[in-house]
Amino acid sequence: MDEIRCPMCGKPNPADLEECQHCQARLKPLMNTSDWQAEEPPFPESTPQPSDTSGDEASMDEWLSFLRENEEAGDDQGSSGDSTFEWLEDETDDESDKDIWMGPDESDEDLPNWLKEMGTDDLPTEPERVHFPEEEGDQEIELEGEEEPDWLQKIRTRQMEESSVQPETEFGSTAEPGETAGPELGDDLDEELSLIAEFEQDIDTGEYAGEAVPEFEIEQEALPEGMEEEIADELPEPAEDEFPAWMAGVVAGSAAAASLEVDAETEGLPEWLSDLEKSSTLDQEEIVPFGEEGDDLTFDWLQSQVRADQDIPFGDMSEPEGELADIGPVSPFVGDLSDFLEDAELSTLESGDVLEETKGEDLAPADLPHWLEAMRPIDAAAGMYAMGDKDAPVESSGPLAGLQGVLPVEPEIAQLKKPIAYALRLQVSENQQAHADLFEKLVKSEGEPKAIAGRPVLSSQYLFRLIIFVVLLLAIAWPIFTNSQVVPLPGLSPEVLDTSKIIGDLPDNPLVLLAVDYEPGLAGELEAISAVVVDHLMLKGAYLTLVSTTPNGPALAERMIAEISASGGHSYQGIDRYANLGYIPGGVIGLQGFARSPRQVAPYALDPDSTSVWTRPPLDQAQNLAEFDLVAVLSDDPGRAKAWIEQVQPALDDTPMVALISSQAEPLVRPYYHAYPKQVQGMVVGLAGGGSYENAHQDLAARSGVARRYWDAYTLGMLAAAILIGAGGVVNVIAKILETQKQAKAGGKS
Amino acid sequence: MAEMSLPDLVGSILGFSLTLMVFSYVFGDNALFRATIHLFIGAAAGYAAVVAWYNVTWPQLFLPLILGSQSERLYALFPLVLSGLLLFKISPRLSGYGSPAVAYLVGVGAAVAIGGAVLGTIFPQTLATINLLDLEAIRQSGETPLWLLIQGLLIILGTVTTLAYFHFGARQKLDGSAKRAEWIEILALIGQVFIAITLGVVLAGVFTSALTALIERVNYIADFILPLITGQ
Repeated sequence: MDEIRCPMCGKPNPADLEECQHCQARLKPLMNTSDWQAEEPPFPESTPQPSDTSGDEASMDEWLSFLRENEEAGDDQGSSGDSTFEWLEDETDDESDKDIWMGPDESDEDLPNWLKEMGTDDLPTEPERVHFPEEEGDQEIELEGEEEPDWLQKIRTRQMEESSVQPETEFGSTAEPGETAGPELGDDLDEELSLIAEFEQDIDTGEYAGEAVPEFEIEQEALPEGMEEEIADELPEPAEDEFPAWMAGVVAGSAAAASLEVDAETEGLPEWLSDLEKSSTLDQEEIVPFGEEGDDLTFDWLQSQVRADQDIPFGDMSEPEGELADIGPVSPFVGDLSDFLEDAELSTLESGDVLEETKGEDLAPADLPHWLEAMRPIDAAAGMYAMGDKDAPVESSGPLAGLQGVLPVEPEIAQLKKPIAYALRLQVSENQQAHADLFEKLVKSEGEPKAIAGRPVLSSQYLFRLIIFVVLLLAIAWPIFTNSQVVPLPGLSPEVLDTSKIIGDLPDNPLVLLAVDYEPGLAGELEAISAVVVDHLMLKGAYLTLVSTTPNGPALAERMIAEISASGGHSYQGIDRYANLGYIPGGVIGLQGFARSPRQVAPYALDPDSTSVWTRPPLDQAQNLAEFDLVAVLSDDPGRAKAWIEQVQPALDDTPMVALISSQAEPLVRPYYHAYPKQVQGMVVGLAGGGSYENAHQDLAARSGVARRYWDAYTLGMLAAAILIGAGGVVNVIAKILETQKQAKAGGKS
Repeated sequence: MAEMSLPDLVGSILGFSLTLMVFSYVFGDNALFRATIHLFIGAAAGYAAVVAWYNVTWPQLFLPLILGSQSERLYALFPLVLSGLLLFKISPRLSGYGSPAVAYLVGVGAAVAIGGAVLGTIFPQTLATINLLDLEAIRQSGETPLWLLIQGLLIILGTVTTLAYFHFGARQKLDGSAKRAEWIEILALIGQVFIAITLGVVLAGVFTSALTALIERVNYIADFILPLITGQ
């Protein structure tokens, strides 16, 4: 077989090529070496011991003589013997095809019809299963079957004993280290047959005795004389029925190739092999095309297979030839082997019912030799079918034709699986988990909208505010609306007395610097204070020089002068009676500058003409502030009052300074009054100070009387405020006591 | 009422209305109160701008530059430059050019304020406190020496204890804690009493000022309403 036909394009190729030289298709499929090849027992193991051949013809095993006879018969008949297994040799020579024939499944159920039918009568019902240890040479042959032949059991038993006792004498032990004899020898049936032929020839030619001694006999020669005979005596003689499985087939084939003179009833040969031998005789005479054979066709298993494929009933073997002719001549050995395999598999798959029927009714499970079982084409396909998915595609061409599911259509996509879900749960303690839950709850609660608590229409604070306002308003409004002036004015205080004395001691038409540094919000209080003092100054005919460090001061100064002048009956109008120098910018810096050089800081009066007051009388006589007769500071802010005291008072020399200030500025200004020497020579503080000043000057109070008008309201208002503050404090104390008692009760209950 | 001119009448009505709008705050913050506050702020700012122009900028800066003598012009040039540099503070990118003017203001202002505080407050007040026990001064005052002596002692006690209250220096103990000395703690406790009294006086002064302002407004309302009611 030097050519291999490409399964794809059908063109011949050299046997040593692996790919087709025409279409580049792979000639040898990438399947693993078949099990039957791998498990083929090494040749030497089943080879008879050399000692068996050292004797004469009679001492030789009958099986050996039988082989020789077969060989001779084969020689006589030319190649007829070979032709008996021509189909087998053809197929085994073709390694590519041979691989396909080999299948792992050796079960009886997957046997094709032709194999089953072939072994129905002769083979054991259960297939034998041979197990070979992998390398170490201690082969163990285990035959599983209901009817294991006796000869095979004996062979296996003796081999096991020999392997355990004298492994070095085994034939296989002569092989080179690392050389596995079994698979190599069993790969090719031709090699096996050739080895057998050589072995027989060696026996015939007497080379076993000495000259052309094989390797294993060299070891024997090293034995002492006499030992050979002892060993030969001790070794059991192989029986005729103790052929190994593979040898049995070879022997059977050789016998069939010979003239088939051997009695079919020879022990050790199964009946099916005898039938096969008998049927082989027909092949020697005539090769009948498939389909045209008669009813006495020895290959009835093949006929049955064909009939099964064509749905021809098995029992109807006497069908007219016409029906078979319709099928046409079908030869599994002609043409592409894959077609044959495909047909066989398809028939098996499609006629599963038939298979079941035949298995259950007509056909008994065949007990095939392992080599024949391994060559079953359907076995491989059936095995794959059994292992694969039924929905898997069936290969329609190529060396894998007829096989199902051997090539995945989408090897990557079809095998995509959902990734393994690994648990993400952390190994946390209960405490940690509780904290994590709490944190998660907090985070979630932050994202959730919370309803804004509606503010009560009447809250306690709101009610208190309303109550305070109403009480104060009533306390203030009642004296004012009733024009009540029953509350006596306060007595003359030292500071007021000092102020009144200073003003009273002023010369006529004095130069008075009046600082108006208050805001409009407290104008009521400051105007109540200044009304009587300024009226007193107006009575003295003082030239009022108004100045302010606040932007609103000049306007308030104009308003004050106008009101006091109107209420006091004075005619303080125009630059001749007073000069409003306006606003001094820069805060303390402006005051410092004004104290040092008032003419440069405030050169013009705030009148429509921007009169330069320092150039006209009476201010033309004053070069600095020390030349003024009096400096009066009207302020509601202790800071401004202190600035005037700090920045201006040191520049006044002996010029007195009086502070007409709000009540809220008194605590910070009073120390300057009580200082020794005094920094502020007089003070009039708040409405009380104004009332006191009026009280000291009844004539002035009769004309202005602002403090007098406010005093009753002021007194009632202060009283009401004191009551409210006291009442509020009492309420708070009571509420606190009640809350404490409530908590104490709650604590006692708990 | 009959003598009131139309501008005064309009002003009185406007003042009365604005007063009531401010009083509406007692019912909570509302649009009337906010409108009134905005009106006051706007009017005050506008008036201040006008005053600053007519009272400061024009007569003291531009008028000397235009009509003044050479010395007056040179004198007015310095504030003009500084004022111009202050305008760079409007732009964040050019605000650095205004730093000299600001530095001048801050430096001069701090120096003036500190100088005034030292010479006008610290020295005089310290001297005044010391002089409280000056028998010669007491004798010259003409008042009862014992009373003045007691008054002076109280003032000194209040001053010292109040200053002791604001003394926060303490030595660190071995355990790391820091606590003032025991005698300072006692003085601080006494000073706390004086501080509480002082703060009470300040609060009373503030309340009195506010109450007086309220009285003035109620009196204004009465002056506006009573003539309308009585026809006088």
